[in-house]
Amino acid sequence: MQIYLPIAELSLNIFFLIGIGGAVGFLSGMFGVGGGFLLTPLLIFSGIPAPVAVASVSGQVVAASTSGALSYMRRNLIDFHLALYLVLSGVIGAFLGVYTFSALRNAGQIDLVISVGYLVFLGFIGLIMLNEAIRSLWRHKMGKDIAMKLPGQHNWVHGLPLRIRFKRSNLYVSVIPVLMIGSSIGFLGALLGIGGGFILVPALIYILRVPGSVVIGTSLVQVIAIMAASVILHAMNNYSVDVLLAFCLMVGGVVGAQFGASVGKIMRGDQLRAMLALIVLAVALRFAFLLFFTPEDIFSTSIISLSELVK
Amino acid sequence: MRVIKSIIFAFLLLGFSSSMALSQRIISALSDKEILIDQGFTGETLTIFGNIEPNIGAKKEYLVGPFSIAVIIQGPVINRVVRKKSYKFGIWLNSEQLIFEKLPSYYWLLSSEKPENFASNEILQEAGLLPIMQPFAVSTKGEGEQKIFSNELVRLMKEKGLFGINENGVKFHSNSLYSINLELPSDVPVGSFLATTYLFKGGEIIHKRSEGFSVRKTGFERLLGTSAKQSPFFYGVFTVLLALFTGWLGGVAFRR
Repeated sequence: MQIYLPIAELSLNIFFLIGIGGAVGFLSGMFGVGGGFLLTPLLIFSGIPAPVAVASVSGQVVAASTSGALSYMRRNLIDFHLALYLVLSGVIGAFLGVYTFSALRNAGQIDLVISVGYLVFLGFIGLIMLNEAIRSLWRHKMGKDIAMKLPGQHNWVHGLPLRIRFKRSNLYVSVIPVLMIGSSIGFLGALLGIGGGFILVPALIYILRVPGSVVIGTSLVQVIAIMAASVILHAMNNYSVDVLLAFCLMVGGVVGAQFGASVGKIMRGDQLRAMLALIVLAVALRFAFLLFFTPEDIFSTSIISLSELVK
Repeated sequence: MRVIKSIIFAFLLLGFSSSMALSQRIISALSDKEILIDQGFTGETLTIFGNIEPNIGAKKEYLVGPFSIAVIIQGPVINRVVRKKSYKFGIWLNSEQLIFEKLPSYYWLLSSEKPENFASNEILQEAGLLPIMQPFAVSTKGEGEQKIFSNELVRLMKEKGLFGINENGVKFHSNSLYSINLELPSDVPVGSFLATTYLFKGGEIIHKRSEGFSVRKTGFERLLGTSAKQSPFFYGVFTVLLALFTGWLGGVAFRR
């Protein structure tokens, strides 16, 4: 059954849309990540214009993160004080991200930046994750079940000025790294159409030393806020949010995430991380092909609005 | 005053019919005056039926062919940019671009046979049937590049099904009755379209008729499309609320 997407101005199969929403939701539930970094590329590769894909997936990420955040909130596993700082700086980052997006789009370079951005980030994160997971799997195979070395209590970040006490996280840390992390995730999220949870969570753990119990809940709050801000900003700046497309993805994503979560409970952590790393690297590789191999067609055309002409 | 007007009108009518007395005209009708895009829209086939008839006052025996017909269908004008990738700094990136202003968003030429077979180039040029699909480029770039880019634009538009030529697109069902089937793809541009039909006989255009139709979004799709443009802030807020609600519902339905 075909469904006409009023902003993308093309029709796609509704079951395909709910299906990829569900498949990515399944993975995101299984691995505990938002899934935007998989969904945006999948939509772009299925012919949806990059601006529409980025903006609409942001809406989907809001929905996918909400059910998770609510469950963490019920269990009181969110540091709202820390989240407030992350959200405020994140929204500013999202602002910059959307404006950069518009400027790059007018210059005709948005596809390039999306490809390079995905290649660099996914490649980097994928390699780190794979390396870590393989080591862990290796240790498991050798029978030596060494506990992960806990990061030290302090590092250079904790020496910076303007320190604030975050009670829930049991932290006394400078706001500078907090705001920097918040705004860079907001910027990247708005630019690439990813929630950024898979970058934010390691950053909170390894840079700020946020305890593992509150890190996921707190990062979900920030992801919701910056993705909500990017949806509104993309809608106002680029008119590129397709609510029908976003809704199909949400429905698939929310349902898929539940099944993914139950499968995720059965599998071992290091196996999950190795699988996720391989998926992340596969997407990165797909973008590498776009950049390094001779394109099928070196010419492309797109409609531009009058307002873009004036600029 | 009224009397003078009607006398002038009568003279005009007389002059008109006497000069056209030996000719034929086309009457035609569209299967749809409006193409409505709704949720299930996957493109549509538009049919134009036409009949060649002797003009009022003409003698019946003048309806002898052979007739040839050419139809141009044009969509609303838009601005398009054409970009060219090249290999720089070790990667492929868009390096050159050219903007084409006021380009028809849709352009099809359908005819009963090769246009060159039924009229001379001068006549085809005069009617705007030649040169085929040379969009007007607005840019500071040199002629040569403009030519390359405009050729590439036409090729890309043809691949999208938005531009095209079909030399068997006009089907004659009898000496005078003909029909045209027009395929509108699912990403057909929205706006007003014009179908102009040229009737050829003996290498001359003997009649020309234009008919308009419009493509527009309807119902829910129209509501979404216009609110996204006209009140983007509320549209964005609505999307966010919808997402929060869907996420909350999912969390409640599958409480874990």
